[in-house]
Amino acid sequence: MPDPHRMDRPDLYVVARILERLWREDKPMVKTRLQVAAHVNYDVFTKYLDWMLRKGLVALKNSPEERERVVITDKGMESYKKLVQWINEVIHERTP
Amino acid sequence: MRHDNARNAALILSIAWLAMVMWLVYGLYSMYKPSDGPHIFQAIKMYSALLGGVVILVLSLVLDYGLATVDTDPKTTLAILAHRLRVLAYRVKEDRKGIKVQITSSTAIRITASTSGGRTIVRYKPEQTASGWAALIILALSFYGLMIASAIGIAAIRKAKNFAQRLVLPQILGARPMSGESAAESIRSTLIDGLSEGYRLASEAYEAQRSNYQDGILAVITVAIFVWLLSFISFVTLIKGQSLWDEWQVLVIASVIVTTIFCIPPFLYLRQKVRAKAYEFKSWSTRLQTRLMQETSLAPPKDADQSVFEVLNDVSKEIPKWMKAMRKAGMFADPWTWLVIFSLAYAAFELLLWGIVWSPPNPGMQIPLFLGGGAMAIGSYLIYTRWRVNQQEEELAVTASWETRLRKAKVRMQNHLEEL
Repeated sequence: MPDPHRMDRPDLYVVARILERLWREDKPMVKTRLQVAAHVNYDVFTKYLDWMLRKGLVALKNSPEERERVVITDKGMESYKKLVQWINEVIHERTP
Repeated sequence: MRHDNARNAALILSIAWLAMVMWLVYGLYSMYKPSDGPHIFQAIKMYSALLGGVVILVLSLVLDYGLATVDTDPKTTLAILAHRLRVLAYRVKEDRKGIKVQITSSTAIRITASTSGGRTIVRYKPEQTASGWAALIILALSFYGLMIASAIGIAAIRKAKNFAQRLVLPQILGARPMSGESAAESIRSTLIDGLSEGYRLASEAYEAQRSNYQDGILAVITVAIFVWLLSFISFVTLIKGQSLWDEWQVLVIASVIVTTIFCIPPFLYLRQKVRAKAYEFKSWSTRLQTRLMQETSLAPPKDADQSVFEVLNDVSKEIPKWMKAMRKAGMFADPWTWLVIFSLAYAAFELLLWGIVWSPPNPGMQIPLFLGGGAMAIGSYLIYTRWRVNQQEEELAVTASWETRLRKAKVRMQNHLEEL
């Protein structure tokens, strides 16, 4: 039976939103803040976070106050870099 | 120093311009002083001054000037420069010839780079924006306005020189290769490039749409004047000899009513459709400028904000609309073709007018005038229809290829995520 928390086909924009938000932060980000920035409800956010952890795009860090924080990995940074490069190529390849 | 070339050129052209203005004033003065020799010599004085103005204008537009010699290859030099100017919020357009940077609403600068002796030479030349070209062409065609056009040309050299010296040169000399950037820096550079390009396109689309709206209003006003005159003359002809003629106010009001019925619908269409679209483009331009400023100033993100990736994705969907607006703004987008169309139409109007008004007693003169006027009118019409067909074909091709490109990019991104 398929796991309801597992996700096979992630929404490109939600993934990009989470990666971009993490890329902008200098330090690991508290989960709830990241969820607000991702503009999705907590259940959906948890699915995306699981998926991104499995793919190695983000990692969890324990902070001194025992709250789990999320940080972007090098792989996540590279992936986001590719996404923005591709969308930028679309914008620049215009012929007016 | 290299930019002294531009300063010297501006100085020499300014002196030449001053001499030509004085020569023109002297020519005009001679026209009103019969004792100053035959008319032909007076006319030669005046026209030679105007010809001098044409030469000054052309020289101010075609000359380019050296700025710097660097060791990076031309393509990289221009790519780094374009990026750094975008970070400074300038509107930069990259094309095969180099980069074009807008300095003011009417003035721009073109920067090129070429290889010589194993090094890269960066050059620049003053250019005009689309609205700058339109103003320059109108002035150049308005006889005495030509001297003002050539003065604008000289002023453009000075503006370009100041911009190149103060802003472009430090960016070239202090350039750091983009290949040495970290992934995080590279992401920011790419986001800035995308936002800046989107901002430039949205701004140009807004300017084109605004020009469309203003042209439309001008056309409605012209048609309104004709309709009013035509209806007034028709009413006068219809009721000639009747007592109503004494009450001419009634005829004026009736003509105004007819004009209103004819002209209000196109006027409302222009306000509700064309102007509304201009506002939409303006709002995009403002939105992108704000995001660009946030990105370049490293301002902290707000949780309510869309991600820049999503903004760029939205931009990529809007670009075909912006391109369409730019194409539709005929004179704005393609001033040279429209100059030919207007010139031919005007010549046709003049020749036909001469044929009708001034030469009825002389059929030998009238026939060539009609034939010439007809040929000019047909030429103008053919160039217009060809331009229109080309525009439509190009629009269809670009829209189709754009949709394909966007779809392919999305599939590529989605596959990338799935294959991680």
